Amino acid sequence: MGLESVLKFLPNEISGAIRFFNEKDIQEIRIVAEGSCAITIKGRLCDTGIKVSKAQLAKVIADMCRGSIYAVQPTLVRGYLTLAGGHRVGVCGSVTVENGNVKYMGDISAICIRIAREVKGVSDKFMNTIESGGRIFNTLIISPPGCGKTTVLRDIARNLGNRYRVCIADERSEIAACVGGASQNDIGKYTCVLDGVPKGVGIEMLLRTMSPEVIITDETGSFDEEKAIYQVINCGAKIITSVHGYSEKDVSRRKYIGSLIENGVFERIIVLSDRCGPATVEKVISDGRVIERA
Amino acid sequence: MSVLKFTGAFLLFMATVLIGAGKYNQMCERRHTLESIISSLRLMEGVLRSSHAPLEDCFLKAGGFFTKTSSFIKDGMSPAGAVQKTASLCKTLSIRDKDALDRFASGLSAPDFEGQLLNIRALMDELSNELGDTVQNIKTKGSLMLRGSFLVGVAVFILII
Repeated sequence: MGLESVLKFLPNEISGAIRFFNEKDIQEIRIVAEGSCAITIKGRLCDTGIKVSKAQLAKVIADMCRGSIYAVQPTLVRGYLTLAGGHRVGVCGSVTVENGNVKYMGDISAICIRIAREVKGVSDKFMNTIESGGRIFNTLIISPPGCGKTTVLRDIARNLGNRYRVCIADERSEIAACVGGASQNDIGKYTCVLDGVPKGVGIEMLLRTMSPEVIITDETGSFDEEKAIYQVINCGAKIITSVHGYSEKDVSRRKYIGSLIENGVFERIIVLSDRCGPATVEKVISDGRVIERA
Repeated sequence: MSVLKFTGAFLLFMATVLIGAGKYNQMCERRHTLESIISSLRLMEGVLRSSHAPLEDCFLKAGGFFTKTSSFIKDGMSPAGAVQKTASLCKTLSIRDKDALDRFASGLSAPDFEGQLLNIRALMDELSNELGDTVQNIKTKGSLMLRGSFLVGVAVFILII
């Protein structure tokens, strides 16, 4: 489920051009209708110079949805769709709003395909921080976009999922990349995945039904998620989650996640960057004290 | 000479009866196809309601008439094209049935779930009406054809003999 699972949807001209690049370096593919196609390589935008028509982009979307746009409308109205292999396609187009909610997304004019990668062992270097003496710590991973948050969470699930009752609330199908209910990635033998569910709701469902020891979820930040995380703590389970950001100070200023940090919910905070490649550990904070600095 | 005459008359009698039976059979086959499509559409509606599955899966689970449609989609055809091809390959459907299936095919591009359900409902209604007419036709014209062809055959047979 590498890059080929994405390239099969793209026009031959584009997929041919992309194949010239090293697969491992490609982070994003950006296509704008009546505009151009660009590739993000190691954080830098490279124009392929290939023009893409509206009809070509519509065909790409139709193929990605298997000709059934209604089937992906629930995620499309939230601006994305997920491909087999966990690749996420961000979408821009014309939106129809009803009662203040986005009802439909149509006339798609631009897409941004983020290439998902499974890097086994990426979390090994800080597993001692997350788990020590048979105890798992509530952990928050802070990282700017594209620095490997989801990859790290997936690997943590793999590491813990062979020994603990791990559950994942995978709202955007990025961690486990479930297709037809089956995870496409190695997330551990005992890891259970609740796929496509809003994180707040998903965490509550998992707590009620799966008696998890650890709940893993990606990109936390809303009120519902804050409430759900407090429930996890009250139930005696552990939470491992991530948030977009550059430092713990930056994240602390935010309303809901900031309150969780202030109240000491997270026993471990790991700050990542891509300074020396994706998932470079910048800082590890344990119970409010910096215990490791790059 | 009389043996030849008798054989010719018998063959003509058989041909007339077979033409009548063939026409009757055609009507019955159309009825069976329409019934199969309607029951597949019912299943498809259920699958769609319960799972919001993509059309390829819905057609596959609906089975019957739409089994081929699903395999055409799997081979890379658009859902609309696949339905049109399935309809064109079906010899027992009338032009009106095929037109209804064409309209259904163009409705498959509906971007919303409700639109898809309405599209299925519309085809079910249209084909149910066609089915009603076919059943009526089998009762009236069908039996007339069978009896008529037999009587014409007998008449031809007697005339030649």
